[in-house]
Amino acid sequence: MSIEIRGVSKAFGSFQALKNISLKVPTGELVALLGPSGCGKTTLLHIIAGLEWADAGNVYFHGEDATSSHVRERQVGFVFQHYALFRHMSVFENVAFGLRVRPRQLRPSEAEIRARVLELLKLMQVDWLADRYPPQLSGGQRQRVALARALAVEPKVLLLDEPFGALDAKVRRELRVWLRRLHDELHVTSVFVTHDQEEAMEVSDRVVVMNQGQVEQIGTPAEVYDHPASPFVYSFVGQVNLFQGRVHRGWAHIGDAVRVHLPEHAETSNMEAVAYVRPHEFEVELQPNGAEGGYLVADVDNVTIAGALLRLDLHQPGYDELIRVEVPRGDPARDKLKQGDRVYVRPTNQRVFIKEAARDATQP
Amino acid sequence: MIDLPFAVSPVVAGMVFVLMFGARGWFGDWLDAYDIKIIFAVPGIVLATTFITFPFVARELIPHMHEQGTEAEEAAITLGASGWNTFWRVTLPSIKWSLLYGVILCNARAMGEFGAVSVVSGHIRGYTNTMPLHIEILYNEYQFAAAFAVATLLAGLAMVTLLVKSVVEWRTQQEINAIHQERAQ
Repeated sequence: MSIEIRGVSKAFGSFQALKNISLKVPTGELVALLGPSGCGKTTLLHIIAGLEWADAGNVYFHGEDATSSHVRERQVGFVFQHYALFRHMSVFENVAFGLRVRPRQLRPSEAEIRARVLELLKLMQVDWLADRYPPQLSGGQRQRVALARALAVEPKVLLLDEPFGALDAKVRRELRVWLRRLHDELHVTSVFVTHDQEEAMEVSDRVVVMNQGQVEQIGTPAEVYDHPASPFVYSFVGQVNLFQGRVHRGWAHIGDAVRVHLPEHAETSNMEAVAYVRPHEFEVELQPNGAEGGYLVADVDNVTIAGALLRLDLHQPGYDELIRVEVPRGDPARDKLKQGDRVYVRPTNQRVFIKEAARDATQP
Repeated sequence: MIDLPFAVSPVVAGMVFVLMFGARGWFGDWLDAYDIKIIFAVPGIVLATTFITFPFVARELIPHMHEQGTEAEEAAITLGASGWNTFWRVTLPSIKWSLLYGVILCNARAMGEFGAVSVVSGHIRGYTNTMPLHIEILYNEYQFAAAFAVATLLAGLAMVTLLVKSVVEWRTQQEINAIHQERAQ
């Protein structure tokens, strides 16, 4: 079932949590709402679920207006960050809850409930925990039970609020892979909220990047990473280096030597700008070769080896900011770089944003 | 507002009930028309005692319910449970020890309540008499032995209540600790 949100706004007192949000989630997709804390992503999820009401705008499920329908009627499965399991019920009873509270004529028989619950617990790989109580489980196990409970009522939409937020790093990584696989098996339309960009990139079909109650960009993980729509997305998703510069008559000047042609800014004269360059979008030379120039002079602060990559922390003489560069290992001369060496780096790809737009860019 | 019964003297509370439900009170005529007796009858005693004691339950329950948050209830509703089902199957089981604790405190207070009940009951012996009222009557009639006997009985009941309270208090604390532990994990 598809979800569509049109023009949703929500304020808490004087704080505008959501500003005119519109987005679509096609049937069967797994979409991540990604953003820093306080950006409104959880509020949006609650509005989709019907746990919170929008001040303006509509929510459509499969093309039907669900804005005024009650949580109960929306048939959503909701997974909470802190699991929200019923502590006085066994794991089995937790999962069976949604089936047991159905009106009598819709309620499955005891045998059917039993079969369904055990099947789900097996799918979640926690069938051996059926008789335990939530306080006796680990965080990862609890979240699996919570997911089983949400799926027991055969929801049309699955909503997950920071599902792995309370787990330690290793379990989180495991559950991430497992959630992706589960989704590929079940194909239930899912929306999950996270502030962890790595998680969003790894698990989702599409990412919705949010900031200060607004959608910054919607796209596949690759689109969002390779073609960020705004300075905010650039700095929030993945690592990035910032260079202060100026834009004048179609050219961006970064540092003393680097010039970038920007045809779309041909009319701009002498505006301050910021250039964003990913760590892997640099060429590193040991000699200032060629007459064309166009490189930045930098000294090596630190060298680390990360698998097939060489990570260099550089700084330009006279500047404090660190430049993070990643180059593949294998070049014999480059692999010998050490602290204090001088290098010549040239950005191979960059995005330049005029300062006004860049002002609200924040570092994650 | 919850603390109003704590702040107001029980006698005043009793007077207010007389003012409202007494023969010449605001609802007096209406009650008379339907032949319902509240003042100088058992309903009056129950009403006055409830008013005096309900802050005990509220005081106990509100912080505990704050502590637990609303997530479990929200989860129940998304799973399709009705309001009644959510309360009965999710909320009530999770607050049962706090509720019991509040009820015991109420009971302790109710047994000893004098002022409000004294005003509304009318001291009709064998009909609208409570233990403290009875002690007062006996005492005023110079039946010291009988008065002290009843007083001892009341004190004994209080001790039993205290004992039960301690047990329940311990369980409540365990419950709250469990929530904290879960959060910490």
